[in-house]
Amino acid sequence: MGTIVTEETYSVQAYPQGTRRALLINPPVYDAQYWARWSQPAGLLRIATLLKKKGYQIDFIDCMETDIRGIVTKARRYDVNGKPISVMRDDITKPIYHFGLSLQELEHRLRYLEEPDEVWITSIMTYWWESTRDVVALTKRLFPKATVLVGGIYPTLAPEHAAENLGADLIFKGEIRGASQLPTDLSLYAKPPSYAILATSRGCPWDCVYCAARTLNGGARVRTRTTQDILEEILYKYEHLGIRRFGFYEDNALINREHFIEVMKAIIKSGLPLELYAPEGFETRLLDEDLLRLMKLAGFKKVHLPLETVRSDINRQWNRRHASTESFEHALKSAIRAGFRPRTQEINAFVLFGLPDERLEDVIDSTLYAHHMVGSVIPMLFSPVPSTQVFRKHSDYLLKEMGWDLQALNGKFLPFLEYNQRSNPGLRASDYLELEGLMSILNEGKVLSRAVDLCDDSVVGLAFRETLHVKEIHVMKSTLDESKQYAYSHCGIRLG
Amino acid sequence: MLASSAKIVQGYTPETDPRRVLLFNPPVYDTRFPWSHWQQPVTLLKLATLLRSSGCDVRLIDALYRRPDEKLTRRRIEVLTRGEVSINYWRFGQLRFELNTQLNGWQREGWQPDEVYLEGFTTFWWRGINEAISLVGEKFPDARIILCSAYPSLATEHAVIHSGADIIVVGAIEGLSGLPLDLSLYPTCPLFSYLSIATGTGSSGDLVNEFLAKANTKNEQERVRQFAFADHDVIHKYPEQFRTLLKAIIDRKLRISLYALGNIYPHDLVDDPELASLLFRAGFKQLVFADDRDMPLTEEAREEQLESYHYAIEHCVNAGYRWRTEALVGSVCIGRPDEQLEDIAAFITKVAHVTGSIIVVPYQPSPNECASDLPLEHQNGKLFPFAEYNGKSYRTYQDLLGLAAVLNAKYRSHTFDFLGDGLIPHLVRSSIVSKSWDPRNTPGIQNDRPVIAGWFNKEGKWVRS
Repeated sequence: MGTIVTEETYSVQAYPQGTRRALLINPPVYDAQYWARWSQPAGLLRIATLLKKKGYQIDFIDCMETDIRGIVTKARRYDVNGKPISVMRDDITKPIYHFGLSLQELEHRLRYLEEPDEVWITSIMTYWWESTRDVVALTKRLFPKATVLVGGIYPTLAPEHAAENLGADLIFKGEIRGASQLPTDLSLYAKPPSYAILATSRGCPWDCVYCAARTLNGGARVRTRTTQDILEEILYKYEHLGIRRFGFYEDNALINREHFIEVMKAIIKSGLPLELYAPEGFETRLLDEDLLRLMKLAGFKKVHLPLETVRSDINRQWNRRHASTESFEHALKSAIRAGFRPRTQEINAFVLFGLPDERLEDVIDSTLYAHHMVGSVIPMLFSPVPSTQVFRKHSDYLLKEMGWDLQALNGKFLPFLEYNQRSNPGLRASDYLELEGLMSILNEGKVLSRAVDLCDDSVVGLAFRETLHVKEIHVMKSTLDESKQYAYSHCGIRLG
Repeated sequence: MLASSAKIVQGYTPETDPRRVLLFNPPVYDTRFPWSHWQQPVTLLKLATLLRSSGCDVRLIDALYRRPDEKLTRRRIEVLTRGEVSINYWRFGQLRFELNTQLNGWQREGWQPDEVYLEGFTTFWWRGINEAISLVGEKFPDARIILCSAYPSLATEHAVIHSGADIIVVGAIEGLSGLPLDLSLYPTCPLFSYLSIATGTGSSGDLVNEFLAKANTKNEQERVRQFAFADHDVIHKYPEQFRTLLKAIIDRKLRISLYALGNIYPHDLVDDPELASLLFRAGFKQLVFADDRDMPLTEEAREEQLESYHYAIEHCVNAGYRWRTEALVGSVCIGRPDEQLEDIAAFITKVAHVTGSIIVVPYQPSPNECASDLPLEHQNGKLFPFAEYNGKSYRTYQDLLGLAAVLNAKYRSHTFDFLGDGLIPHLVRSSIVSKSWDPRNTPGIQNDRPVIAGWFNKEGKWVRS
């Protein structure tokens, strides 16, 4: 059983230069799918900066380091009997892969290292905890004298689970504030990455029911880094590592809008030819044309808008009172006026699905709305995250009734499928797969870089709609079997 | 360059006395080059077989050649505009300096061709031919330049004036029927080869031998794994030879992949239900069906085509093909004069429902179909030369291409069926038809508060923008 420590009970000691050795590891991932884009272990790389300042010698292994094509290796996972591991959900089966460095390769690399005094392991998604456990076991076996410490999102959101299951000595819950404001140390990579992750601020005043930001940040207070500090990090990475692409990872970068504007102006003034992204999106209400123009000038290539749902009542249920389709459209128009082109992936919209009590027709309405408005739909399959309101509300169902552990709460495995089947018995897991497919293929209709709009009133749009209409009339006239009728009526389909 | 001395020859017979011959497949100028993988200078490669068997010293420059791991090079030449749409016009293929380097090398070693053959695959690619001829003309001014294939045959006058060739061959070159393609002139063996069951000397026995030679060679470097038939309407034109060949492939258990690239019609499979199984067992990995350009633009014809597709796909799925994957691809011709785009949009949606995957093939008019003042390169079907005649903009055709792209897009190797019977297609149709996705149209779901754009200031107070 590991000991749970926090900022208040644990501090990183300073040592004479080079007298203390730490090994930092970003573990592999066990999952059905993995997107390697923007997946640098930023927290661990900030810890590296902190430890170096404290006199540590650092060894670093990122098991998820991509190759030159941006791809992480993958291999099927097998159980102890040599049987390939799959997750079966209703009428679909998803094979599970080991993404990243294999444990054998990791062991091979670890054996070449000098024994560390401390092993720092980051653990990101709560449903990836098993690979962290395996890396802890490996380091414990190879370096029995070292203190093994696990930090990151998982131990912060589920510290008791981590203490009980990982086998680590220390479980760090929460933020190591001394590291939060520091730059990531990308010099630890043998070949510098092609991008860097940046943070200008931490914290968000909102409390959306599915979001864990409050727990991760120890409250709703928003803290910002100084503009000079941010610019120095960019400049260093640009000049010394040749990095031009930066991804802002923020809880809500625009809450302190004036600060963000200051950062944009400083970047513009620097004259650096940067490519900037914020893959997690910006709060739409806080975006306006002037700010978007500044962002464009600073080097933003894309804008991500968190639509999530088209329905205002659902937004209210999710405690997203700050979000609306009006503010979404306002942000969209501002982005277009600022020079971002719609229907080209320069403007993108997130759509959230897989939540308890959702109606598929609402998800499809949201998908088609996003398709019509911006042309690029980014599907976000919902994972219930410990500490969030949704998780707390449904923890009895997820953990007791279904008997699941955290690895089963991966959105890709549809943890609320059975729950939603209670009110919609005709719902199948394959319906979710098809829904994902719809979101994916809608983004594919690009000709001369412009995505077609199947919902507009163009000649083609109208003809397409008419064809679907004729089919619907045919469906209505034909005899539906009882289960389908039930399913349709429970999804609120307008058959009449 | 004016080539008034150019000689037009109908049905040219190549001279086969031993000589030095350069075969030159020119670069391509176009807005898109979607099937570049399948582009092979069939006529030149047959010529190579003929000429080499007569003792000629033959060399090949295929400007479209690249190694399997390389991408085809393209350079933007200009930007065309059609209404509000800007269209990039590209030059595809090895760069001019690369071609020059190759020719310079031969010149340095003292190799000068007596004759240069160029293949003009299509009329609107004439700029590539012009470029290749001027390049060859500079290096080898004494060589006789012979231009063959579709461009000189269909736009003879244009070729006389603009190509720079000495001999303009109208119609097919004599003596090539039934000859195999000589792929040994390539630096590395191409991934695929065309086969031709042409009339004349070739028999199914020859074809089987050609197959075996390419697919069964012990030299891995020269072994071809992918084959496509070059013959149009192959099943209808060569029913016995085609079946004999497939049976021979099955009997010999050849591990090859075959591709039907628009030369099998859905009704071929309706007429002979056993054929689908034969195709599958022989190794046909993908059936891209022939498009409907020869059918009238009527609702009845479209219904008939859909019915043919319905039965053809059923036979194919029963034979082992996976539905809604890229194994079975329906084709619809777009851009024909007098077509109603609304009908075409509906038709491609229905074809995609039946076949799973779909491609749309722009109608390519012959030069005499277009207005005489329309430059040849602008008669390119991809630019939809009949758009204005049909009363539609290029943007509308772009939408049609976009619709086809969505219908053909794969997720986990499968297309989405908008006309399917499952829950999701039903919900999608319901949302699109009723426009329930639009918050303005659906009482109860629209946001009832006006947008309040603003932000928190440094004191943490909300400031309206």
